[in-house]
Amino acid sequence: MAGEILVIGGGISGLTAAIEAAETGYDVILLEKNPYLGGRVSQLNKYFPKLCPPFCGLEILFKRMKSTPKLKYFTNAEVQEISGEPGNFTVKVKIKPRYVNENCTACGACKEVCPVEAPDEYNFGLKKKKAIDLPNIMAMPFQYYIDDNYCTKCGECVSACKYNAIDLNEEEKELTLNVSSIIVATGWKPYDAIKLDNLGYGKYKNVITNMEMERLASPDGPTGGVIQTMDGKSIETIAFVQCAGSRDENHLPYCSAVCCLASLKQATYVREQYPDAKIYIFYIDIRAFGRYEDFFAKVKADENIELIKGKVAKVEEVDGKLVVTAEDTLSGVKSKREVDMVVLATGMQPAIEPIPGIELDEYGFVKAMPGIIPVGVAAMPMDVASANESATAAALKAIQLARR
Amino acid sequence: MEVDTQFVKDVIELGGETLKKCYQCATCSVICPLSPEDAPFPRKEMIWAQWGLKDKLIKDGDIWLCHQCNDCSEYCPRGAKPGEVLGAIRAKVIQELAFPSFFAKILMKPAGIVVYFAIPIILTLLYLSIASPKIPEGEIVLGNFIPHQHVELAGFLVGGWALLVAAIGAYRFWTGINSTVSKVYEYKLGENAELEAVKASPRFIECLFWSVIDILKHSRFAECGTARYRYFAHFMIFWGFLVLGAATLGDIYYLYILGVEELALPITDPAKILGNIGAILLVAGSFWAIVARFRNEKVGYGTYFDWLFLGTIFAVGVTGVCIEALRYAGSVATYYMYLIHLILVFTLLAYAPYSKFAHLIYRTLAYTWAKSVGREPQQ
Amino acid sequence: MEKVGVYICTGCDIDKLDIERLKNVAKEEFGIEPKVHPHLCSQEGVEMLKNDAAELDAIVIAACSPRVKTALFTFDDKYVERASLREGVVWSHDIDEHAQELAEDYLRIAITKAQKAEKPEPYIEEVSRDILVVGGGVTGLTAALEVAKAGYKAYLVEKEPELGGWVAKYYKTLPIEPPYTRIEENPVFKLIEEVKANENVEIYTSAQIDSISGQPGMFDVVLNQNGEKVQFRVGGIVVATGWKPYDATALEELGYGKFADVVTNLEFEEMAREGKIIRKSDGSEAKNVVFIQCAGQRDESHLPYCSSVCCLVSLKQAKYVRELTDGNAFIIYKDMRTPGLWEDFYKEMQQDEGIYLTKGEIKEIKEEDGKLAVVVTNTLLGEDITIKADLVVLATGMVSTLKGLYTVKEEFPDEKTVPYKHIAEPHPIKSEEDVEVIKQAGHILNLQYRQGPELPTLKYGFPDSNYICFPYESRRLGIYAAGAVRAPMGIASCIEDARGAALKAIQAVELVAEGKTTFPRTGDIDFPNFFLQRCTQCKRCTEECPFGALDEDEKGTPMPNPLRCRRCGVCFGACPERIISFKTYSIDQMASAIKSIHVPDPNWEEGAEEKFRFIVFACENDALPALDMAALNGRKWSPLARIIPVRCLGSVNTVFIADALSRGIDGVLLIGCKYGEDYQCHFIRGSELANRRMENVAETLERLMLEKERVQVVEISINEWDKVTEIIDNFVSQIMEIGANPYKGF
Repeated sequence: MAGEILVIGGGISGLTAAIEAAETGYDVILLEKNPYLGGRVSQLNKYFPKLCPPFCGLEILFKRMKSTPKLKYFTNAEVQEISGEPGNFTVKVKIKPRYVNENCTACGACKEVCPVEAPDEYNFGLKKKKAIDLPNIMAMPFQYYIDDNYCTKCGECVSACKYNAIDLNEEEKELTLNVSSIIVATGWKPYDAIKLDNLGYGKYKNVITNMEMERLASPDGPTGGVIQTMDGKSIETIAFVQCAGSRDENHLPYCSAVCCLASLKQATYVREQYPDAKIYIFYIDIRAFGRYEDFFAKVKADENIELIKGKVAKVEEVDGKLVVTAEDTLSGVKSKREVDMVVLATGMQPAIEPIPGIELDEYGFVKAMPGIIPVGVAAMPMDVASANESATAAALKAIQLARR
Repeated sequence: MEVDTQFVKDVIELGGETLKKCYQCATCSVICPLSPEDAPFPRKEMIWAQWGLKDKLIKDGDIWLCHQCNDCSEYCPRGAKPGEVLGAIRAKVIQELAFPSFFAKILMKPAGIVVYFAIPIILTLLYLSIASPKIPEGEIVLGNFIPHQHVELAGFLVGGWALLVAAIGAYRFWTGINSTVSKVYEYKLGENAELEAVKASPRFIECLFWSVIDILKHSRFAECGTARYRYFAHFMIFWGFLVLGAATLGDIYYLYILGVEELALPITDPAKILGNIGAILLVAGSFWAIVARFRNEKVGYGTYFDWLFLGTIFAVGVTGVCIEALRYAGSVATYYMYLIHLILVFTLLAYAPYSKFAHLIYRTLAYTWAKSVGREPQQ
Repeated sequence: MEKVGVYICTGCDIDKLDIERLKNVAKEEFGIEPKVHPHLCSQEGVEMLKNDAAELDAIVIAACSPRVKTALFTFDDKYVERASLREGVVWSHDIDEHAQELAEDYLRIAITKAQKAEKPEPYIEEVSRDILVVGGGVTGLTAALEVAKAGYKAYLVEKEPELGGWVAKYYKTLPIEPPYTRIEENPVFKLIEEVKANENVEIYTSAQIDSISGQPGMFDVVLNQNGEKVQFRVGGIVVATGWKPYDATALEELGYGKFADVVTNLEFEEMAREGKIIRKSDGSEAKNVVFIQCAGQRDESHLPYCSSVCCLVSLKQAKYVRELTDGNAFIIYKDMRTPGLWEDFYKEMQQDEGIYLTKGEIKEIKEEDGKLAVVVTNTLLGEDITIKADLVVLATGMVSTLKGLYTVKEEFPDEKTVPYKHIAEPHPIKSEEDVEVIKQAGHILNLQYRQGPELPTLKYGFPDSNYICFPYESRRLGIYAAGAVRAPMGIASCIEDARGAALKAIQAVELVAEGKTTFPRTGDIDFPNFFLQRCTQCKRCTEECPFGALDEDEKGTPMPNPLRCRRCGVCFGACPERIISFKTYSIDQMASAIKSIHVPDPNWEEGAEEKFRFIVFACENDALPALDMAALNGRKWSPLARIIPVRCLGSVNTVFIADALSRGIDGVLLIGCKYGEDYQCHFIRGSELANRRMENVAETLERLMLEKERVQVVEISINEWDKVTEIIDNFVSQIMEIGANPYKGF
């Protein structure tokens, strides 16, 4: 199989790079390791600063894909090895079985009969799914998949499927691609908050991460979009803990570039559902660069939102209430707040696993090399708009190497 | 406000290399088990040191409330090692408070080690040439080599000097932390509600008493998390000194009350037993402290200033034990060891106001001040 | 279209409907024998469709939503119309007579639309594939070079005699790629050499653009180079005219203009380039330098935004102080903004023992003993501090070169016009003279577009995209802004941005060469046709087109530029004379589709709810997917409503409403994207225009003694699928309460 430009990763950066290159007239192959495209942004409820839903952009991108025959994609695909040189790379790819083929109409009959319930990783385990399920409601491809980790191969789904779409014996496939350039858009994963031992994650159930907050606020999330504590209580007070793991040599030494704005955004989620809730945002520096400052100014003006300059270093449970402590460095007083919920603004960690042929820097971000072009958060932490800028720029670098 | 660039350089040189890494997140102030609610440390000390605000730091009681548990350094996101930096700041402040300050400066430099030993060695040589004591024959009796009265006289002189210098430092320190500048923090509580200047209350003796009790119990040290060993090691060294002191009192009792002429006591003698317990505590405690300091890169391996003091204590302890061992073995090397021991004891005592030993006085006063103004750690 | 094939899929529970009755609709009402398949999207089903397609003009697929299996049900240039029986009927309704009628109506609409559609022909012209790059700074240089490297010719135009822009004045620069730890030698000179050496780049310095006319693929550019005219044709344009420094004379409160030793960061940079950091007042070396961040930034009375790089720049310049003198540098910041891997740079610079940092606010700057005293409050030091400084450097911000220029008419509304809500900062003008005064400020592109000579701006003069997902959305197809003109940014970002914009310009050229448009309707070759004989010169289309595609002759007749068009249909929706239509989306087609809806016998019993009928025009980008998702989640809505997807609410002509109401439809609901400053409408103001138009409709309704509630516009986001059903149901019950359309049966 030969293609011109390879894009690894089907999140927002990869999709953009692939589509921009394909629409310019080049053949593109897009690989995604999940059973669906859309990546991390598909898990977000809204984007800052417009508070618009990522599904909106994904819808357009998917629509563009459908009308661009030059773009081919594979889900469940993992790159094994890259060799060769710019203009002529050989890429070995493993395609893991989905067990559900293109015959699938997404009618859902299989899910109804599936006896296995499993934690839904798309929802960070806050919700259950079936072993055979649709990855999410915007799934692209709009096709069910079977989660190998949970499926017992009982075969109930096979008999329920009227369209001959399920093959429990599907095997792993190997692909070898010959490409001219490689855009690496492998994106990020949330930093493991368990490692922040002083911040109570995993110890107190109402200490959650910012990504979990996104799911809580999403209409298709575990609570149907209702923000509430894990015991189902409404929110009267909530604390956002910035730099939870970021700008921290014990964890992620770099700044994750988006968490300040993400927390400001999430403060508006809370505000919208609970007009009287008190919201505390503990920060070191609010990094609302460029026009994002407008959004910061708007949130700051809300009198129920208090910004405290000082990093939270302690989260405890006192009489069933969470207490967060930071030093307010402007007044020089230890600032304690009793809250119903603590949201840790955990940072972004590069998601890529080592692949022969791709070099990573000390933090695990992908290094640019001739013909290998990192984009989006695979290259460094950045927001969605910047990621798409870099993806568009990458498309140019790729077409410079591609044969037309 | 005067920025003292030299001060920043000095703190860095004294072991605060990581000082400039601090970006003021204040994790340290929260994580510190000893830091009070208002104007917690060590975050503010870090920026004062970064800005070279010498005056503020000299008059800051808080740096002495820090026991370098290193919980702060363990959690510091920038690797700024506040624990170590505060140690360096304390060294710098000891230097500033000491009389004469330049002498402290010399002793704190690694090259100062020459002076550190040259003074006692020269003094010893001088004594040897003047008094020209002979190595006695027969049973090993130290008093036969150098009369106890000589040692005592030297001890009084050296101790007196040390106490005088320490008193000057203590005075400077006490007036400093109680001056208006020492209001550790100025902050607003709503409209114009400024915190009053914090001054020690008249209950000095009472506070001092309870501070001494705290010190004997090491109750603040016991709060340490990351460097828990420091609590135990310091406890042993501290009590080692106290027990040795008690043993010395026993010796004095023998010499001047009972009129014993020489002190080559048998191992079963109560004073000797006490002395040996003290020596074991001292040696074991300092040995533990030395070994444990190598364990955690993240919190730092300590500064020259720390090592010199710790090393001296260890050496004093070891030489003391050696003397005893050699004496029981009947070796004449005992006398040479005795000389070395005396030299080391000199460095420990005579330089006390210029070395880390000075923390004994400043920390005790800081405890007293903190008690009187209510700067207690959060419970 | 004549030969229309109808295919009904019975999979996914569609067979719960009465398929025979559906077949009869096609057969009896349209005379088409439909084919029924149990699994139309199966290989075999698609094979059948492919074989049949050869004989057909249009294919009606009555199966799932048009958003599903789209690529599979695409047959070359055949027109495909989808009737959403799965998401639209069986998933979202209880299967009963209502649902059956709904399904039948959907089939009628689909067949009608297919029959009324015409075959589109692409607009193909001989296009130029060359790219014009405006601005010879780092962004422009990079864009030109990268365009050339991709095998396209670039014209680089710079108004100054030398290339390099502001960066050429810098002493040293921030790193342009990781690791972001060091200060680098200025890279611009090497870049200039590279550009000059590339034969695919034609450079014009000391040149300004007199005019640009035409459309993408065929922009005619007229330059004025030192008084001489130069003309050439290009296909796409990258605008990289960069920034200008904020006017520091407005910062008297920070001592600028008052004290000689208060300078801007740009002046400081030039000073460093000279090799000496001196006090302007007496020429002596400046030892203590205070950097004041956000000088006139993040400040409502100056620049409300953050310029993104000043923190990094000041860290760099603080290092200059340390390297060029043995002095101290003090940085007073509001927030240290070194996002992402730039944190490494902060860390590195912070290490210097002579660089002092604190958050703080400037209380006062005064002169004391011949030095400057900077009084800082709200610091991290626990008290106000006074720093004695030899030199104070103000970190002033970046202003787009478009700021202050006359950009597009809509941003300068006169007293008669109501400004669009999507314009963040309208600049009201009172008279034509005002416009002339503004125009004096100069120009950049001088586009010969009816709507104005420059790129429309988003806010603060930046011609940025409002779409987070689509940073290169430009309302002028083929023209893309890059670098600091678009948004405040540093060199590294400018380089990346230059590449992105260059790609988009190349892409635009390639698309228009095939007569295609760009997203969201990428690849659409169909463009609006104007039946000008009936034009009344009302200028609505030329005013309202969000993309400036329509020019005007002197009389006000529209002069379409199909290659500028994005196919939103706003003009089509705007035209009161109904003279604008696409081949595949026409007034006749839509009106017929509406008329095809079966409105029950007017002689129905009072209060019989099943006789009500509603039309919902749903934007295909957000509302339709939201409805699909609601259906997927088992949400149900009133079966009395017929959903008709439209490309944008802006393409809903009021005639559709009139047709619907006169046919006896009881209410019309328009569901579109959010509009206003944070608009989500993919066609900028389509939904805003729909809202305006329906306000006018409401007046007409009242004149006709119809309740204005019968026509409503609702905004939703795509993820509000949990609310959209409620919106429809509430609308339906509200109108049912009002009662039936009295025009029913007339």
